[in-house]
Amino acid sequence: MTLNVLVRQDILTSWQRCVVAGLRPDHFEVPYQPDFDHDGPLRWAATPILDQVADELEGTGVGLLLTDARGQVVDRRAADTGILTRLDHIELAPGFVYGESLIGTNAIGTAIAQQAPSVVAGAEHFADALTSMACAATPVTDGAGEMIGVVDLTCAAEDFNPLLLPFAKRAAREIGHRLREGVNLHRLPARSWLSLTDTERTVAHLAAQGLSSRVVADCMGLPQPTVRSHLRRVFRKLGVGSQVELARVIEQCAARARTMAAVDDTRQRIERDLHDGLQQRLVTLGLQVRAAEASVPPVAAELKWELARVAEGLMDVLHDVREISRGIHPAILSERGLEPAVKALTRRSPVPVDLTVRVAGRLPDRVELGAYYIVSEALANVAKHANAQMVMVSVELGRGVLSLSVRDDGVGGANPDGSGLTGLRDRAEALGGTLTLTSPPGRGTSVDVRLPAAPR
Amino acid sequence: MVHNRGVPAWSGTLGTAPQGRRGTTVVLADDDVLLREGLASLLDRSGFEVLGQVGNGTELLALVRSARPELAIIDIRMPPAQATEGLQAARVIREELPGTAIIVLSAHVEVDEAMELLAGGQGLGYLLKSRVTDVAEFIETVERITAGASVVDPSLVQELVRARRRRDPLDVLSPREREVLALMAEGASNAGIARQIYVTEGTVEKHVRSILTKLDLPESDTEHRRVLAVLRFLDAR
Repeated sequence: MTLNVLVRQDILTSWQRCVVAGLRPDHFEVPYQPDFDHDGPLRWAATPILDQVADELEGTGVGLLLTDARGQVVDRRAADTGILTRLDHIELAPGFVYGESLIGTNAIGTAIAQQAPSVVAGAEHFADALTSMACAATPVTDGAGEMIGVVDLTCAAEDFNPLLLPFAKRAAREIGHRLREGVNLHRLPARSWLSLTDTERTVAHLAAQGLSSRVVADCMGLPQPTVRSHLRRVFRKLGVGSQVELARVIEQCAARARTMAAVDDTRQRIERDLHDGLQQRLVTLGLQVRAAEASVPPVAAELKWELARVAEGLMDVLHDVREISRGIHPAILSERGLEPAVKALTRRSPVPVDLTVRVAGRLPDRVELGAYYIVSEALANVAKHANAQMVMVSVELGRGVLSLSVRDDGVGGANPDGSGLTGLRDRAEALGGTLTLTSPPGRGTSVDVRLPAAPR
Repeated sequence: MVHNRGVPAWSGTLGTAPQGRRGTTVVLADDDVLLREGLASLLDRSGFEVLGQVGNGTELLALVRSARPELAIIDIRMPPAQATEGLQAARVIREELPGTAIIVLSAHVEVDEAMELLAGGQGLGYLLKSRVTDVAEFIETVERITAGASVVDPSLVQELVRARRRRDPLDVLSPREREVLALMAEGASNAGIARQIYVTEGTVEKHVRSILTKLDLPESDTEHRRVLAVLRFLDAR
């Protein structure tokens, strides 16, 4: 196509993506999916900010949109019917997916594709149907620096104003803040190894030993400026300012992991002893009492009865030992893995469970154990405090990441500093993962954990 | 927890001869010698003929092949790995000597192991080790298995049935039907169920048909297939 006007580089790049994806400017069809997350942490964090921004946009003819990380609209504010009609006309409404690969260059989709703010006005849109509009969109990021949604301001092309982008950025920043505050940051920020790439992790470990960036570069066969830039990213992601701090943080994490491993090993030993030793002996004793009972002559019926009761009592003790042993270390986890263990766990929940488990194969012991304890503790918290009608549990293995989620529909307002939750956070962090707590009062509690996990 | 529904089990009727099937031959495999001895003594008192006792899977197979017992009672956890050697041994015995009834005892019961064992056909039982001390019930269960029944420990079935799920498929069943379903999962025959809940066998058959229809389960020609179908259903929900 020929143009007699200058086109910005990022728009050109976006158009190229559209052409490669086989899109046509005269074809405009926005996919709709009714099943969207209209009640998740993003919308919860965003709602008060969106309300406020919507107030500020009164009378401007600008519409405000919030989408998730794929571009599906989860919320919308449109002050006057004029802009509302236009938004409906281009299907920019909750449930519709405004991805660049689906409908071509647009601020939302392009911001997601380039992971950076985007302004698309008038004819810069790929699809003809959108050329009467203009929009400015910017990503919303969570505590780990990951993009989890997009804030977008859209208006008629003739109403476009360059101040829209800074306005959107401010809203996105505030939403990001609220999300992070929902996570417990009253202690040190969650140090997430998850957010580091493998290269960054290697750089971090070498740098923490006090090696200069030149030595690290030699070790890794990389140019020194590259190593320096990796290191800067590591510092930013882990929230440290120097190699000394980095070393301290890494040592702290390692120390915590060692302590936790030692505790877990002890528990496993105790369970073994309980299982192998105690339970066997109780059954043997029971058999001995039954043998004694059988040898009592019928004339001593009372004695027979008493011995029968002793045998009964022994089995009650055995039952209790079995229950305790399960709480200490579940044998099924070591023997069969995470999926059967979590299924058994959810069967015992007094609150009805909606369970999804997608973990193929075994994972390293520490990860399976940590994941099990986290789900177990979270369920126990639900039973004790949440007053919930039901709880959704999901355990899914993605690429190198095990995601755990326990969400109830109870009273919410969980105290992030409560002993139950700090224990969970410690476990997650000792494994190099993250824990996110979302618990608006009256609106249920959601514990979301992500752990690095390579199959074994 | 009262172990067997409130009544202490007596280990023998007043002075008369033990009621085990006359002379059913049995071998025992458990690496805990004391427990093995206690169990052998119990079986002996109850009229069984204990042909031998061993402490690991290899010796068990050798003994079964040479002595050809009608029944083998096996601990699931034995040397060398102390994991599920008992299940492996059961599988081999099944292949070589399919008429042998097998009972696998375990310190804790898991549904995957139950299903793995019972897939082997008839005359198979998966029980909590502590069941052996409920003498009368245990002996009766042993006799049923030797006669070809499939048995799953009631505590496992209870755990599966009691699981509370949102949108539970079991909600379509009446309380009586849930009771019957649990007994089906334990491996009881229709006659056995009728005795347990004090109704006629005909009534049980009606309940069973209703349950199979409501849960969309297949009609099974054999009891062990029925048990498997129900277990699989309960585990999957």
